[in-house]
Amino acid sequence: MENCKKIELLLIDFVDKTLNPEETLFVKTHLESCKSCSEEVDRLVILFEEMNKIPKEIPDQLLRQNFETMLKNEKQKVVSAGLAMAKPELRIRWFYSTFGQIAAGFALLITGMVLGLLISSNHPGLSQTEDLKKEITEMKDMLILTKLDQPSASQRIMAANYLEEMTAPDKKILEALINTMNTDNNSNVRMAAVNALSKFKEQQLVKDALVETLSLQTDPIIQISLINILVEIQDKRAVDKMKELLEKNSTNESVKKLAEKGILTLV
Amino acid sequence: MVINKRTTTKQNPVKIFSTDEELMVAVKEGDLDALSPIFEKYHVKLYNFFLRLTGDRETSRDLTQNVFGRILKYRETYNEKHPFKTWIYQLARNVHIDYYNQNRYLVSDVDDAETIASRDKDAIEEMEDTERHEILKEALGRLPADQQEVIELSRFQGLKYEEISKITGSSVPAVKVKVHRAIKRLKEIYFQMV
Repeated sequence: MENCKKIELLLIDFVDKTLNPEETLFVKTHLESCKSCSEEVDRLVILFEEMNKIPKEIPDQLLRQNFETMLKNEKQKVVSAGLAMAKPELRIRWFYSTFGQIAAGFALLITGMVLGLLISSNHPGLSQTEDLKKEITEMKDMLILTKLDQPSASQRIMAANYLEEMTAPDKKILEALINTMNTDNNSNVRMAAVNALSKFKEQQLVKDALVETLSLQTDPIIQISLINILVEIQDKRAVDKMKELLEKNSTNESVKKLAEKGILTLV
Repeated sequence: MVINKRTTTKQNPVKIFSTDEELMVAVKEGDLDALSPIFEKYHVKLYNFFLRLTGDRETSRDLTQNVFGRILKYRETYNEKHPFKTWIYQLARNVHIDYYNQNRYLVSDVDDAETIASRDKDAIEEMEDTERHEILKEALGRLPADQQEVIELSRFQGLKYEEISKITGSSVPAVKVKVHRAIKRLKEIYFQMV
């Protein structure tokens, strides 16, 4: 009788065969000698069998249709939210339209042609050519800045990659790119920004930004390339940031290993 | 740099053998179509979950839809370290609790209507199986809501004690005792009726 209470709690799992071997043996031995408990087991078996026999109902098509409509609406919401998010600071509305971009292209072309004509014609004033050169670079800069603001991630990646080819981007562009590296919600774009910036890692502004961003990035792949870059530029400030990574539980194991190595080379 | 490779892998279509967790992470990162395979896998289970708890098809359809609505709404909060299954049942449970609180009085009316309807049906239906199903459903309907829920999760949805513990926030031993009591009560009611 004393055992019946204990056994009772085990019966469901006994029927489900999820007890461990000792418990199973314990229940089995008890059942052999206890009629009321073994009747309970029989009833449980019947009850569970009946429960399993209750057929599953298949919902009508409306459920799926409603789901698909909901998903479609949500996707549209995401797209329009993305458009609205385009940054106000550097936005020049005119540039946003395809027309604007084509027009900018033409403007570049015409400036180029004028420049070519000037160079080939009788000795133009040196300052004039330089002015024009400057104008072209500004034009290009503007295009990149606008592209970095595009809602489409691939466009932003293109902008970042294009920057990488530039020899001496100005401060405004570097700052925009640093901003992208720190805040873009797409990790691929952030990665492209890191890659592009690493080319200008000798500049103090970029160096500072690369050190700072290590604590902002969560994607292990980005963390890994950042650590590599920081080790390369031998910036001691990175040691603290790497220690931070080591202390975080969420940090990926390979990142941790690399950070440990990085600290050793920097210290 | 080797890492550049990654930029090209992002746009891959959802793999067929992705786990629930992988799919949900994709949803979280903005690939909303990854929710479709999750819907396929869970909507019938959830529909039957609500159907047994509410006894009403239209309500169950709405509540199932509701769960997927919440997944979309709260997708940013999904933590990939936790099993997706317990998360979705947590949402389902909350949806049901909200519904139950809003319709507390209404629910009992519906229950009565259902009970009467099922008795009428019994009179016509000759099939013994169907009759027993109806009795079992009625017996389940007589349990208090929390016992119904724990039976639903452990027996009909086939969840483990550990999973139920995560969903409901009770400890594993507490869940075991709750399941035990609910089954005991159901057994008593059912065998009185047959």
